[in-house]
Amino acid sequence: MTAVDITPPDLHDDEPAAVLEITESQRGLLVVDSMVSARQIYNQTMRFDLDPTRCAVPLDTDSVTRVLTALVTVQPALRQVFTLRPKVSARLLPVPGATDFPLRVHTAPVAEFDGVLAEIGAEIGRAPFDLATGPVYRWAAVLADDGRAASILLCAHHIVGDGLSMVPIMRDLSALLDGTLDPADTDALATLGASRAKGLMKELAAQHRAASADAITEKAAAWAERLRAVPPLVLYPRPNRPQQTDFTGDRVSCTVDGEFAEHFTAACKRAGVSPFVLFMGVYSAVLARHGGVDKVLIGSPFAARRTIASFDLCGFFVNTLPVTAEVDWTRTVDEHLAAVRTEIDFCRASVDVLFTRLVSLVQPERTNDRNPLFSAMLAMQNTTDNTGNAGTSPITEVHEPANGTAKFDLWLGATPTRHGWLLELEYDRALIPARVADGLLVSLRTALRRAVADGGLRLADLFDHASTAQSLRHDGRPATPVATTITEWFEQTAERHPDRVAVSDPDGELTYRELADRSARLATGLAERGVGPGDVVGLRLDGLHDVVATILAILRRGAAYLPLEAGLPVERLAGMVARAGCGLTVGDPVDGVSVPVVPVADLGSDTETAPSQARPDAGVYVLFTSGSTGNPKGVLMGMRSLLNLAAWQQGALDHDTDTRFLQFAPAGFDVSFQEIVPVLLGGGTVVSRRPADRRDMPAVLRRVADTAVTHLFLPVGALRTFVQCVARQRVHLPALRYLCVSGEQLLADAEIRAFFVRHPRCELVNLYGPTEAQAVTTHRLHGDDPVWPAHVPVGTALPGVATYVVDQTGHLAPYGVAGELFIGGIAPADGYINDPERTAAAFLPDRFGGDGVMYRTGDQVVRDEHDVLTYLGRGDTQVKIRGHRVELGELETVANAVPGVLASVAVVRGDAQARELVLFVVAEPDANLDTDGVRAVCARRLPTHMLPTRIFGLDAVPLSATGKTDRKALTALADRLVAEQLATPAPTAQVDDLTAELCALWAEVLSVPAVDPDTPVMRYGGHSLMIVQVLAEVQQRYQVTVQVIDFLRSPTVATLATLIRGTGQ
Amino acid sequence: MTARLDLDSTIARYATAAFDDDTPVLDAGLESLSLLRLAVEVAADDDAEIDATRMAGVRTIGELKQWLATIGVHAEGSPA
Repeated sequence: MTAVDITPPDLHDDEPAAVLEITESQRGLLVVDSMVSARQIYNQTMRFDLDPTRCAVPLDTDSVTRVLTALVTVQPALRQVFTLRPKVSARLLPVPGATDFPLRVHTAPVAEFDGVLAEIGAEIGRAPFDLATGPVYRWAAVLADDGRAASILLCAHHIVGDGLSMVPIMRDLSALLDGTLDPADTDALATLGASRAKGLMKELAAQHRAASADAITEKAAAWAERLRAVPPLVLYPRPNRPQQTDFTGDRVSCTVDGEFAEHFTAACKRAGVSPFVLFMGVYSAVLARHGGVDKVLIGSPFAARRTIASFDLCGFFVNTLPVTAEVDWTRTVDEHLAAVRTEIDFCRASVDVLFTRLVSLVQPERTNDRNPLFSAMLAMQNTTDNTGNAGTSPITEVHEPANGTAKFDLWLGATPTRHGWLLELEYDRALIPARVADGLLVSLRTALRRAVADGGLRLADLFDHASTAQSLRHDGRPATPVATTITEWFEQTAERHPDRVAVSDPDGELTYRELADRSARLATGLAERGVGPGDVVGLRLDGLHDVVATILAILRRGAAYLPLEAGLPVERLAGMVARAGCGLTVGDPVDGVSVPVVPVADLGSDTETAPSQARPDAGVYVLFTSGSTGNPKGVLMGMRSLLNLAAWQQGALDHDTDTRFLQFAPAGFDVSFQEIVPVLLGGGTVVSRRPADRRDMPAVLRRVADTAVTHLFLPVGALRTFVQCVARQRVHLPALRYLCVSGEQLLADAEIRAFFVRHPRCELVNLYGPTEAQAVTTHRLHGDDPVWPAHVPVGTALPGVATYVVDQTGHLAPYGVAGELFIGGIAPADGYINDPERTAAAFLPDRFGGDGVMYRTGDQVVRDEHDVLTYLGRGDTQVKIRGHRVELGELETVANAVPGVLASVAVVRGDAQARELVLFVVAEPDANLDTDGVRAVCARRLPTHMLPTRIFGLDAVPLSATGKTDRKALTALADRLVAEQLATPAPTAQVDDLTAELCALWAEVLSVPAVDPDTPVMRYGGHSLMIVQVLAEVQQRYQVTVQVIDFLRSPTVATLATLIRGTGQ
Repeated sequence: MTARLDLDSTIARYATAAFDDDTPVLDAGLESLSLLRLAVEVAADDDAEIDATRMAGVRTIGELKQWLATIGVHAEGSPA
């Protein structure tokens, strides 16, 4: 008798019904099958290694076909196929005949057996199954040609078999191979198959009954509520992380064996937990570390079989449920394991709550084809006892080979082996690069070893620092200062190129000789007024010649300069002068601030030049940044750090005597240092932006073109306006080599890229660095780079700068793990001037191996697998408004001090250039809210970029569940109120055509429905860059150039119309 | 119903350590999968059902025996 003669059982008589009501879990897989591009992700392969000497049947093609046909006969679930109409259900296919039987037999020479086996194991699961037509299983047999080795492989879709199914399949296969069950006894097989099919029906009925029990509804609702509070787990977070993948997967693995396996068993006993709980506990800590969260959901299959008979059946009867693990880093390992055990027990006790029910109750956002509740999985592959099969069974070992896919972002499989456990991490390659996966495995292995060794260990201590080499990696460009002070270096350069132009201004040019003489004379004048090392000298100057010469003079005295910009409110300037201990100001008087002022013209001295007092440990400048407590902080930047930056800039930005760097930034921005000092050290020319107003981009562009500027440094927010101007005016800038930007996250769009494509010799350099450390990292892009990331990375560190990414556990983060950036090495500033308390809080001893301090930035970053840093956001309430750093707390502190204000909360809303500050104010019980009063006080004390564009009253400050100010709710409220405000139609006064056109133009740029001609555009969220955009458009449409300055005096549409008419006439 | 003595000897075949009624099941070397196998073995008949949700509450051998006893007596169609 051959396999062909095996008669399939009569489905209609012996098998109870043609239609099977499938379980919810099966429905779930049907949905996945119809959604994903890689349908083979739910193919499961089992490999049974045989001992031919224990087989009662010959291992040849005929015999193996007969055995496997018999197995398919007695395991009806394998023969399921599925339909969605008229109702979602399954039916059983008949057992195929030998010619149709999905089996491939491979005979291999002994020497090649293992290789062929591995190849078949990987290959058998690659092709997807058609769940509608079936069969949804396929077999392979690999036989050694000498008959001494053989393996059988079964690949089936998960929808017909779960992990527990392996046991009955193994039992049946074993019985068919050792002769306990006769593969030729078709009657017996048919009877058994029919009774098993009945069992399958009964189990399905029992599953449905259990799932529809009333008590479950309440349990499910309460559970869903808890699940909603768990943040999503995003491994390797980054801005361009794919939403969908092709589910291509890879695996990395490690083992728990030998002595470690013994300790593992002992640790389970110590903690009173099963291996499952121990693995889950450690895995959850690894995921929390790598995902940067304190609570994770981990999917895991829970056996949900109900009838006793079902334990003889292959079938899909599991319920995959999310285990919630809270990860409190201060808890001990054993405390954590106890908590995880409770959660797992909860899942076990709730195994009648179906996954699909939970999903429908949680209603997660479903924007992709991933699992809706969890991105990580833990599967215990311990249903067959691999450790004790050495007895008499023909099956010696069972394996579950991977098929090159990944169902989840990350999957951990724990398989018992003869020696202990095999741990495999399967990861989605599109989401997790190999280097990041290696980091996950290192964390898993380290954490497991430590958890096993010491149950009293704090969870955070389960991990190690990632290699400090990552933190010290830099861009490889040299940074070797040729002198120990800026003064000395400048003098050397001036001596080398005395007749070259150092500063170019529309008023005239200053050669290096002239500049050196002038600064030496000014320094002598400062010396005569008692200025010496350690002093702080205010700068209140306008012309670039004066600014540059005075800066060099102050540095020559070993003193630091403090820019006192004209636009700042008097109160703020007074605070800065007092805090910095500034005893003298050069330039114009500062009304209302009591500090001695010497006009630059009076400072020059004709007496013998005083010798330089410059020293390597001197401060260079003091710049003030927003402080959350309401007082700005004065950053004192030192010589060593800035010399390193200047030296790096020589090579990295090709500074030489041909360099012409536009001086664009206000003196109060640290960028101005980069535009001036390094250029002068390299023998280049600092070019004044005058006569262009900084806000008038067309004029700036004209200046750049006319003066053949080679280097330009813009705030990120101005880059787009600049390239638009270039495109609109069809200007080409052949001299421009470097366009640097900094200040906030750079988003590179097609217009920006197009500029660099048209200017192939010009490089885009994105610089990052807080005022407390100046520029510390860069990322460069060329027009011909094949990929332009939309969210441009902040890049790689300068030499000498340490970039420590510190994760939640307090360790240096592995690749792909987000953390807070600490800046060490040569970069950190000397501290906040005369403010030891805030200095100590932000400048900490370098605990990662450096000998200095490290500055805590508060910026969240991630280091990618190529050692490139990407900025992810802030961990606090610091925001950026068009490149300016704003601590919301500073605005709130000022508002809170206004009489009648009980409390205030500032939020930021809108994107990119439309970003604005909105202030909510709660008035004191008896007071009336005076928004104009609040606005006036803010305007007196804060710089323009820190002023709220809108102020709203509030009854009470909303609080989050944890008692914190609910800024998210307030931001949403602000969005709503602003939308309402903007939707209110402007008064319909009679307006002329030009005004109407301009209103429409502004409405479009502001993205609002209508604009009132007499309301300042700032009220609608307008700002200077928008003004520049509109004025450029005005020039295009009406051939009229309106100066930004003129418009700003009264920034309304009515003003604009008047200006157009006036200029036109 | 399976006799108490029989239960002990059945459990002993799955356990990897000595136990009495107060021994935690984990200390006896039993985890959820072995508990299921035990349940299958002691069940009254093939149509009997296991309520796995109750298994989570089984901490000691004594509780295990109580749980197994319920499976042993339950008949078809009456979920525990």
